[in-house]
Amino acid sequence: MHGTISHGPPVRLGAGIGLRLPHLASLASGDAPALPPGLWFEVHAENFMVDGGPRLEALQAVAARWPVSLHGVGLALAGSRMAPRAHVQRLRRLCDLVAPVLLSDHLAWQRVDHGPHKARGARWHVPDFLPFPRTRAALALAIANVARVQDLLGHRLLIENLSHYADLGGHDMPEHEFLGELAHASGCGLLIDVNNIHVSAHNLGLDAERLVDQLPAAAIAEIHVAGHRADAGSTLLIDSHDAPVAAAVWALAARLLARTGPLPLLLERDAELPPMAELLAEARLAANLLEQAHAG
Amino acid sequence: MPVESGHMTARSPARFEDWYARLLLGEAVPSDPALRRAVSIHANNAMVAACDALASNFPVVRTMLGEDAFAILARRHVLAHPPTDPRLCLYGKNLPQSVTASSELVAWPWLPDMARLERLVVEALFAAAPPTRSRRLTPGRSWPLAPATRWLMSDWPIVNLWQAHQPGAVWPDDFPRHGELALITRREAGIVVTALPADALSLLEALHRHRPLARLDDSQLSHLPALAAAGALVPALGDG
Repeated sequence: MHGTISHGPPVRLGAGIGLRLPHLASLASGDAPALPPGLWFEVHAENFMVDGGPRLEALQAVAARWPVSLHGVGLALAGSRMAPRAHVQRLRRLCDLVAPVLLSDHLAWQRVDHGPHKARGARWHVPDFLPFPRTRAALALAIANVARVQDLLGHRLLIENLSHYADLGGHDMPEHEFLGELAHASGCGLLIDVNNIHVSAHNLGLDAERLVDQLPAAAIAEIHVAGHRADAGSTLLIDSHDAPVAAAVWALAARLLARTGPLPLLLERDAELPPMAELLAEARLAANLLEQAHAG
Repeated sequence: MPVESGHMTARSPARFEDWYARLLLGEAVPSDPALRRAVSIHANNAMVAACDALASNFPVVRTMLGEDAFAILARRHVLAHPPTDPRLCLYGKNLPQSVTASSELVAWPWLPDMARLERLVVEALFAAAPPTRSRRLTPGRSWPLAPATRWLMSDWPIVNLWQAHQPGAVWPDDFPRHGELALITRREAGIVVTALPADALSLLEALHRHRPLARLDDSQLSHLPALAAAGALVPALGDG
């Protein structure tokens, strides 16, 4: 089934930056600070899955000059109600237009039959990444969904682990085992967000380093780092992407890289977006980690 | 409101999702405080993402109402018309209905039309580019509208109001005391919102129905140059 799936061109990626809309136009027009060699960008695919227009053209201009990764936020790959086929087809068209070096989405469910749309037969797309019990049935569903999308796209997917805010219970297996079996059975790779691991470990009372050490290293193809903040209403941490990366998260990234060797390492920032120069300075920390991984 | 067990018992993913969705929608409350907080974080994340998309897609309505009133409208809209498409850049098709349904907003009777206009701007922004090959015009064929072209007939000076709320715009001494036909399209990379004479509506509707050029009357033909100059028509040979 997976023999026809492209694993993408053999581009060696180092440190990357999540490219958000306020920075896109300036980058496309060449009005940006000097960029370090080897830099790559990741964008949220759904922002560009449109028929045309200046935003899509700007992304194409960026993709013509730098490696671009498409990071989906809407495939609902762990859901019993996956994104519609038309959505996957739009993603395929976008892949054709920008030739992404990586393609990823989240291990989450997002579509709900409830609410005011139920009577009209439409589904609510929840714009967040919802957790689920890691049962055998959930694993079979995720494997089928990921395999179906990979077949439709002709492209290997990288699947990102979630942030957890409570233990749902009812699990048949720990997260690392679920991710490993998903990767093995579907042929997908893993995108490990170490900020999500830090946040989840704090919220669930787990050992973040142990979680990192248990991950199936051979299946990991990309790492994300991002910022978080304390929840105002509890002792929880929120995966907010609105702050610089915490030292503890950088340390988890280094620990994981020591197991995997150098991998594409992406800095995500979605809110309280600083100037590009500030993001580049923070991405330099990612590049330093990768240099250490190369040296090690 | 029913209080749910802190831990779900359903083993099937679909049944679990149905159970969790009731919590997200506030139809039930988990007894476990940790789960209650987790659900509220996800519900809040979803609400914030949808409201942010509306704020981005309806900047003039937002400016007219102010942040607090727009936040109330957006939240009400999300509950009545939650997103069905992961592409939040296109979210808000029904916002004009939500504006109309808000009794507090009757003092701003132009607001539903402003929401309609901004929705058409979003559609124009993400529409396909016109064909790159110019079409040869003949009397027996219609002149196709560009894929981005939209229009709105309003009882209000909707174009003047929209233009006055653009970044850097100079506030006019006064606004026209009549309605306007707004043409919305895209020329090169930029959105065009411009007022057309009201009788140009007949031409727009004729072109929308693919009426051949030979069947347009003189009044309709007189508006063709303005449409072509605005970028509302696909490029054509012989359009000069």
